[in-house]
Amino acid sequence: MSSRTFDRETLLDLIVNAIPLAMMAFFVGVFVLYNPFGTDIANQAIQLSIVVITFSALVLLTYFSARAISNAEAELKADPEEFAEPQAAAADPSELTSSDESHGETAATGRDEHVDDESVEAEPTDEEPTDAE
Amino acid sequence: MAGEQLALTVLMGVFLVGVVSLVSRMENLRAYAPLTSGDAGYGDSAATGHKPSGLLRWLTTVDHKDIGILYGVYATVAFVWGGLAVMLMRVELTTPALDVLGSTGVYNGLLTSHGITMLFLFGTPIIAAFSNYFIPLLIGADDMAFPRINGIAFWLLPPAALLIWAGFFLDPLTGGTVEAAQTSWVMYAPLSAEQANQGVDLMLLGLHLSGISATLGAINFIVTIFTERSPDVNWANLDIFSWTILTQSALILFAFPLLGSAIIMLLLDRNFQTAFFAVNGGSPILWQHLFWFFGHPEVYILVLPPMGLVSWILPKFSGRKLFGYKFVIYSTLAIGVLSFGVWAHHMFSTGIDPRIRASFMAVSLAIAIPSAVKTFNWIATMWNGNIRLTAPMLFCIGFVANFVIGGITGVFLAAIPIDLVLHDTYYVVGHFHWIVMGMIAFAAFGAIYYWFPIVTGKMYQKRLAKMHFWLSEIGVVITFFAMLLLGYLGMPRRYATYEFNGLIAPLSQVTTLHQVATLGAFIILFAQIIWVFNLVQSYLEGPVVETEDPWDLKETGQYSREFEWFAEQLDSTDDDAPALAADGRGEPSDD
Repeated sequence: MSSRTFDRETLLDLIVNAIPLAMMAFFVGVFVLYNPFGTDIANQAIQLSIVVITFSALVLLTYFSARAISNAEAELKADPEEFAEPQAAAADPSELTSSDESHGETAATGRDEHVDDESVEAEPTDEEPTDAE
Repeated sequence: MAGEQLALTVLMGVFLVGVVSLVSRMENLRAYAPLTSGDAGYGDSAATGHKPSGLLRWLTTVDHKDIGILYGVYATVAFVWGGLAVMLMRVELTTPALDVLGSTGVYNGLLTSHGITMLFLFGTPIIAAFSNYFIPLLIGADDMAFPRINGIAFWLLPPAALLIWAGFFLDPLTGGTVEAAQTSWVMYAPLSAEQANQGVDLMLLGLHLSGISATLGAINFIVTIFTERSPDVNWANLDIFSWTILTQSALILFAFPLLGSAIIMLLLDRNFQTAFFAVNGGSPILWQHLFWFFGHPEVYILVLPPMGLVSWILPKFSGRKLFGYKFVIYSTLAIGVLSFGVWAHHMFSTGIDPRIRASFMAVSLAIAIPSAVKTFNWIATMWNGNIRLTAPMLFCIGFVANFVIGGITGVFLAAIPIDLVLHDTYYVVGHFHWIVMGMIAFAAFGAIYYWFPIVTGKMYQKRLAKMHFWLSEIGVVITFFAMLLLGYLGMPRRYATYEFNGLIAPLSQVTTLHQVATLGAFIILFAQIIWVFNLVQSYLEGPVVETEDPWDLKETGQYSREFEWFAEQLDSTDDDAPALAADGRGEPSDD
């Protein structure tokens, strides 16, 4: 998990999974340090293994998925014309897509479905609706 | 002797002729199986041109779009069945006594049927409807990786439904010997093991069949998304809906075989005197562990794809791309993993070891984080965006709002002390209905409206769609808030009557809240009648969509691959036959 594999941006994205991981690590610490229910090796082993196994599985999946996405992003950057448009939005929430002004009106009026009246036929058609051929 | 040999020879000849005939028919079938014919994909006249007509087309289709439509129709029928079942129950609950249904057995049968139908016969198939139709389009695949397995997966579902509902049909035919299963959807032993009613066996077999169907579908989606993607789609630009379907499929792969195994064990207990779940054998608690190891991931199997749908549709009407695309991906994957470590939070009150209970509480609290992250992503996407309040967008916003309530009530239940107070009360019923109806059904409605032009080539009635949303939202709030309050008052769930001592719960308030919940349920019912009418009427008579961009997505740079495919269909359709190949109502021209 070198820094070359995960750049700063990817590491920031991974915070979303770091938080539940931190929570589970915290609870493992609590369960080890504080045990009001008495000693019972079998049950304590199960208690810890539930959290530890889940924790480990999440670490592994996060690592491999981050690596796959990271490599794919590198491919995108290296050859942007070969790939479809990236799905990720800009990090700045205030950044809008191209035609902000044209949409300002619709935002203000809450206009309904953007199907122009000209684009649809107002009258029902007589065609057979279900027949395949 | 010679006569026998002659007969054998003739028989062998007939057999060989049969084989040749079958093989030649298979060759015909290959002609309209897109992938097996090599170069024929959707939009290619070779793929659709060989489809048989009429009913035979729907019975033999392996086209992912056709199968998607079949899933959608199937899910709608199941939704009607499950909805009518719960309306009967809600009417019964308007009074404390048993005044309407005649027996508690009928109520229990309806309750079981409602739960199983809505989760297995509506929830999973309606998601499969969208994923079958749109995943290949979104990732640029010709079809699913295994088109015929795709067809098999769907055709296992009708017999599954018939088996699950069989008790209702067989009851009058057998004079009450076989009744509807009365186990509730969780099928807890020893009740489910000892209920001497063959309707339970039939229901279990049907459930098993639906599990096989889901597993086949999951394998197909995993292989499709991994291997059939267009060369220009990789993990960094794969759409968010496909990510959620991929995660859902992985969950299905790990969860459903376990349910199948547990069901077989239960059937053995019921019919062959094994003791897997007997009190003096493996213990009824074993059933709960096995069931919930499947059952909790099942919650996410049902809710992750709707989250994907909302993550896909909501930005289209916000004028912005999804905020935190990778946050949503990582949180989806995290939910997938963590969902297997929380199953015993359904069992806090069963007397399991308090240390183990604490662990399940810890993981349950942790899983709330990735779920909440998504909510913030959706809100951030809308923040400062150019919101267009179309019907799909309204359902997306309703989805987010309902998730806030449904999700937070779930976090409360993850805490052991609160769960011990509220366990088995209407609070739990209210909580998961905010999720199942308020989220899963809402996302499905939103997606149906959003993609209605692609699937049918028509536009729905906008005013009716908005009425559908507002009545559904109002109905959901009234019904399920009342249920949360009923839970706080201590009303137990799964009861047909509630003529209990006033010391248990204030009877007059409980009665009033039940009546309020029933009123809300009727509002929801009315909304769904509008929905079905709107879809059928618009499909038959709605205005034909002639623009390739019915939602003006190009304006915001969000015109996506499925609408590109739609544009190709429009281009390849004759003026004389404006209907699309998408739903089989017309064929692309040959040129």
